[in-house]
Amino acid sequence: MNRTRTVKRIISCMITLALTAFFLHKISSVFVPKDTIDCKCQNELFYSLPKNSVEVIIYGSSHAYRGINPRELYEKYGIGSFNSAWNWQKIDTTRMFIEDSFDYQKPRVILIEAFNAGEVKENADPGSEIFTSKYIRNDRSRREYLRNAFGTNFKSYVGYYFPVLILHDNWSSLTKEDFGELEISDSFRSRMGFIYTDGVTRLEIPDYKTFQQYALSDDAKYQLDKIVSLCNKNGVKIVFFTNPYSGEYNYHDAMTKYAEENGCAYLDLFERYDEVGFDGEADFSDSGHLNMYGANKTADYLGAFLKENYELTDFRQIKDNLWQRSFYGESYE
Amino acid sequence: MLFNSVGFLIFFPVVLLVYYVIPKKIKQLWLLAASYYFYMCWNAKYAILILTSTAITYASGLLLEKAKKMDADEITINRCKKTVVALSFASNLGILCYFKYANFILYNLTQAFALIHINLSSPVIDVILPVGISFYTFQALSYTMDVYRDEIYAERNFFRYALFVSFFPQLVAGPIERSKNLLRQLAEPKKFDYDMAREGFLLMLWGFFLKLVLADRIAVFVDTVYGDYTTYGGCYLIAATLLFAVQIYCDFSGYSTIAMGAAMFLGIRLMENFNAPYLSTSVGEFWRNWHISLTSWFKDYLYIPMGGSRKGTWRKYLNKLTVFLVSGLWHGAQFTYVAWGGLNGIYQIVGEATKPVRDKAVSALKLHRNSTGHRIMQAAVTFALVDFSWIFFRARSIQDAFNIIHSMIAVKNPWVIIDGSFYSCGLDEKNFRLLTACILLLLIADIFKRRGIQLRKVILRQDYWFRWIFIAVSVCAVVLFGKYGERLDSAAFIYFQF
Repeated sequence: MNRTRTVKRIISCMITLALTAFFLHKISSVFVPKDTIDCKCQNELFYSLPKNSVEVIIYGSSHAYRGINPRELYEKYGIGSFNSAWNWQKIDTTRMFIEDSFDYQKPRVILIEAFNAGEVKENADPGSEIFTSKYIRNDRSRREYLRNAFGTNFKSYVGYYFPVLILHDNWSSLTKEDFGELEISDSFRSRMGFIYTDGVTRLEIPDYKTFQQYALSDDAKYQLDKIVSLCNKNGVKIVFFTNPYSGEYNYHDAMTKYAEENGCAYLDLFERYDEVGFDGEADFSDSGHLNMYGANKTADYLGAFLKENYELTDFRQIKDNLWQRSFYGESYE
Repeated sequence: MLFNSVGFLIFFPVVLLVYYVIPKKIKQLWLLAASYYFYMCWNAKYAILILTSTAITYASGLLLEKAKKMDADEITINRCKKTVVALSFASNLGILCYFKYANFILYNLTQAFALIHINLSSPVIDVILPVGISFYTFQALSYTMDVYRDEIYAERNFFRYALFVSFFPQLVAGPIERSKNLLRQLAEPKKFDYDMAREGFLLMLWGFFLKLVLADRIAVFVDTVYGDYTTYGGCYLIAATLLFAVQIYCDFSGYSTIAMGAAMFLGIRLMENFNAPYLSTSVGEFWRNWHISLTSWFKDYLYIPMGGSRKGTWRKYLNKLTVFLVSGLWHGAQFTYVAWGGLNGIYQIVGEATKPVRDKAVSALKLHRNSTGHRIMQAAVTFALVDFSWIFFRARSIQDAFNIIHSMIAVKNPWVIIDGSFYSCGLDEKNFRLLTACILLLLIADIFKRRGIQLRKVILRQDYWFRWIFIAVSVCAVVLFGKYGERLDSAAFIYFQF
């Protein structure tokens, strides 16, 4: 009798616990940092591409996702690319994205924008851009990334896995969209990960020769080595690049040296500012980023480099290809 | 360690699990270790103070027992007993005074000397106020008094007694337990009681609701307005003062409720510390229902020994005023607390002194004291009086309190109540709506409590499916609507500073 009662009570507690966990999980799915939703769309779009279809993938920070247009690469050179960069992507974030994307695509070349190449995520805020790691599917890479980003901070893990705990204050700003299924708009699909801004801010870009130079941290070097090793293993070529903006870039020397030592290319577009044809009066949307015109110029320049140095398919010669369908209206699904 | 911290959410289940798994013989030792760990998470060094207080009062208990059995005349025995009590009080209150009041006393002595043109530099003693020192000191002293009064036998087991002083659920902010209640319950390790644990869980949930959803949400508005009262005058300050009354109630009763709930998981019933105090119809009644453990402590160990109401009307008034002034000082080494206590004492003296006149007026005007309208009016007046005194409690200085009162009266801005200006003080419109709904819920719960209906028992009587859903939804609601910061930072309870 007593035993039956004990079993009933244990079951009752477990059901209550399970119900609570279920409700919390359901609520948690509504609470995500709103400025990472586009990254979720970007990743979902990436996963929906046909397997092993993309030849060039772009990684890096906002200087890359707002700074290189895959459509221009396609239209000018027939390059089939996808822009997989995101806000504040540090080099370990980039590594995680690369490892994840290699599970789905076998690119011939990857472009790594090197703005944050000298840094890794440390003491990360679980309610901010680190949330982008939630949108990737490679659990192993994510776990390692989180270990670096959170260290032994237990609270950060709790907040990351139960975002309602850290983002619950946003309850008063929830909208209908937050409760709906993720919808990737046609216009988003047609940009292949690129997020453009067409405003113009007049800027004076500083002389790159005056920039203070830092060495790569040991952690950053470790991450870069891992990326290089993975790419070598998969026969993927690496092109590092830097887009110009109104601040200083401090890793030019370090990245030049690193690229040389590891058989990679490195194109600092600060250095090649005039060669690319950037115009401070017209090509920037704000102090940190290129606008659509600037992003097209970067694509033109890098596209020429890629075409000249690597064996890439001219997808324009292939009828009804993925990029044609994406850029000009028809969905590839 | 705070109840509303991630650390406690791990600490508490571990303590419970181990407590019910280990052999009976070491259960109390485990709880004692857990209680000291709980305290040492805040400041390890200051655990020595609890230990000292424990050792002194434990020894005083044994000495009192020994004195009672002395082969001597009654006068000698009484003298011995009084000496022991005096030594216990002097040493415990000495420690309390040093850590809590030394700088206050030194500063005010310097100021007093300055008035007679003797200028001294005020020395500052570099000490941190140990969390909960006023609570555990009073709890330990109540034991000495209870043994002295023959209300309990002295506890011979040091570890059990040490657990009584440091029992972690109520260690840092009460309820200030009596040895008659808690020590007796700690005598025997408990078996797991499912029904008590269920009740304890609901109590903890309600406590978290009071603290996280209500108190900490209100704090955002109150801190904004009181923090810049020169900008937020008139109706802003009136609203903030009204809300502060709710904040401090929810904050403190939230802690006590969580403490009661946590103790129930361990099979211990702590005393009720609050009984819907804002529904009281007089200030006297309010104090019988607010911080009951402290009020009754002062009644038993200060008011009655001073003569209580047995030595004439004027002496009674003096005793009441003394008790409330001391109560104010117990809360903190600031004149604001003394003023708050004094004001509450004066309310009661004036209330008692004018009672005959008021009775005559009620009779002459043919008013019905028991009518609902009359009682609501009495409760509203009581609330207004108590709330007015909270201004002194909340203000940083007496001068600030007067400035706030002046600003409340002098600034005329009634339109801010309806034009949405309140929403610029840290809480938006949706948060205000939520707050209103939660305060209504609290009011309903308090009305039920006053009528002797405990909602948790009503919930536990429902069918299993209702209980499951109710608990799951309630936990989610507290998680969702609680104010605990993006970094899962927990806001300290107001009464920790006392």
